[in-house]
Amino acid sequence: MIRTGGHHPRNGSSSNQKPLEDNISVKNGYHRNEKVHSNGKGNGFYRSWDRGEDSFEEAPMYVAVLTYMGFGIVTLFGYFRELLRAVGLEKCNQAQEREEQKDFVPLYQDFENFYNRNLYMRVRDNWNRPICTLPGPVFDLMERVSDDNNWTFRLTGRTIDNVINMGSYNYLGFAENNVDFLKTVAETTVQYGVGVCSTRQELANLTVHKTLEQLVAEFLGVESAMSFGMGFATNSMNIPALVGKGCLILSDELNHTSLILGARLSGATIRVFKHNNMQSLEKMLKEAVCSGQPRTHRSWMKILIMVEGIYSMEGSLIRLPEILALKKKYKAYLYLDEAHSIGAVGPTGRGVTEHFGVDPKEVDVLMGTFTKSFGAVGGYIAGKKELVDYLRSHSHSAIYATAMSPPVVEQITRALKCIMGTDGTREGQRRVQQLAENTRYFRSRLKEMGFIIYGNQHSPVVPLLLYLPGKVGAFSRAMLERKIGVVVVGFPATPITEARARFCVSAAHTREMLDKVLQSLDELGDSIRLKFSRRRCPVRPQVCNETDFELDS
Amino acid sequence: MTHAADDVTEHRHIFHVGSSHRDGVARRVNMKTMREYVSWLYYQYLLITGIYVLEPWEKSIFNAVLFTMVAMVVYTSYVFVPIHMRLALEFFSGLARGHLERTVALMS
Repeated sequence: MIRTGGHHPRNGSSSNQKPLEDNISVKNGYHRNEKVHSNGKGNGFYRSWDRGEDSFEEAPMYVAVLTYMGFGIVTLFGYFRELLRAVGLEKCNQAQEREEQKDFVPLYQDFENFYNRNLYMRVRDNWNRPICTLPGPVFDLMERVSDDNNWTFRLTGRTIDNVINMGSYNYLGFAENNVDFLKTVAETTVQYGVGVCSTRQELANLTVHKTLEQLVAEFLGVESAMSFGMGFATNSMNIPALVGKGCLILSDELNHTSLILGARLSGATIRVFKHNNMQSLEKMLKEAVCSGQPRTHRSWMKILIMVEGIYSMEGSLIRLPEILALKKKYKAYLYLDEAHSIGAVGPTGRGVTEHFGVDPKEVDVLMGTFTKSFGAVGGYIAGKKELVDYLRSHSHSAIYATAMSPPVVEQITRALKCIMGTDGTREGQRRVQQLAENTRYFRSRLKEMGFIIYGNQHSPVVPLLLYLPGKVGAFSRAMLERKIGVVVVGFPATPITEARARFCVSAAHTREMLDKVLQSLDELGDSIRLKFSRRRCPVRPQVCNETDFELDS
Repeated sequence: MTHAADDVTEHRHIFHVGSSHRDGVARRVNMKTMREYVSWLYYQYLLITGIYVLEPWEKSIFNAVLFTMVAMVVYTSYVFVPIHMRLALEFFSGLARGHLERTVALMS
């Protein structure tokens, strides 16, 4: 018995639902869907109050003021240095036009190049650090120094060993080189080689590909799936095959570049709605259905809502039940990009559909990548058999791109079998649960300490807000000093006032590693003053860890 | 990066956290001497104004300019604030006395 878009709270549920005006416009709170779920333990495991709200706490006003002030001062110095370079007192280390081209249209005077020369270069040593082992829970870095303020680097030859990796998308820990686990991958390499030398449509449709796609379809609970060699290309090459001119794409504000590129390539009309904001989406849907195409007022051929499962810069989860209700009401299609959420959320790792207890057959196009939770490369698109068969013959990626390499296919296959449990061990299930536990622990401890963390409490992507431009560089260097590798992100990937450090929790992280990271964050948070949160959580009582106290007999 | 790494190392050795309570940050960061505390304050100033990312000679320029402006403000306030305070006090007390005299005249 499937009831979707349930509109009154169940007895005994303590979810914070407000009474709904109609089926669709939910202000906050969630629908509780009573479902019989064909795969995984979707119903009964996660109750609605566990789903959590996305939190985007705002920092105090002085932080925004200081951020702008910091950027302003560094920009002023940027202009000063540009003056020195223009006058000739200083050598310009970045690319410049040749002497003969000086009277032509200037190539390097736009804001992006200015930012690159004067702001990014100064702190450039925090990115593109060379790694010399596999990106597991700990890794080794090459030591790199610069003699001229980050314009050039040289490797000293030494390595920084056992740096804790908090930046790799290694959610389930499948980026490993354990010989036992990789036995089947080695056998497949011996049998098939590494290169396929053709496209899927021509001569590279191997049996391993078929096995993989059947497994993916079974894992997700849909009819059929198709795999592609590159995750970015899965989005950008398949959206043009699905929609074209005369269609409307409603895309979330914070969608990934691959989705935006695919949407632009398709030639459809694109409208952007506010991030995770159902009122904005509904307004746009209403307007699209009522007014139709811009001049002719004919109805749109297709309306496609493009969203992601987990947004990697915010760590927020999509509101899937509400979007599904909206989609049904306005007869639109849904394209769900589960790049970060497949394998990482849900009680058995099957993504946001399982997390919300929703039937995956209701989502029209399920897309995901194998790069994050499966430790491989590539992506997939899954859904109805007609859809996937259409894509097999009409997608650019299927026709022109080389098929996925056999060892990679085998790695994904063994990872899927591990997660589903069909290889006979409980390792996959253990990893999924370990990831959930690590995520919960990490996020709750960070909140307790007083940092501002964005996103949903179940998302393994944890953005920690730094705000000030000076602190971004200081934070990354100080963490590397303490042998923890983090990824910091600033403008232009984030809004200018919201620079952040993004942690990716992994199932391979042990409690000791997380504790070490948390302790370093605690110290740094005090010495650099990063604890901006104004919500005071009660301090947890110290858990007694003793197991060897004497019992009075 | 060598310069920045030294900077960070020096600051890290000093600013090691003592306790885990949420009291004043200065007390938490275990600073033994006044010199360390001043050094930590300078580090905060570098981070907040964004000067931390600049090269040393740029930092010197900014500090020189800021110091000059602060010195001018201090000097101006030293010269003019007492005079202004005295004049203001005289004005307001004159107002009050005038008000008092008028009420006394009304009564009598």
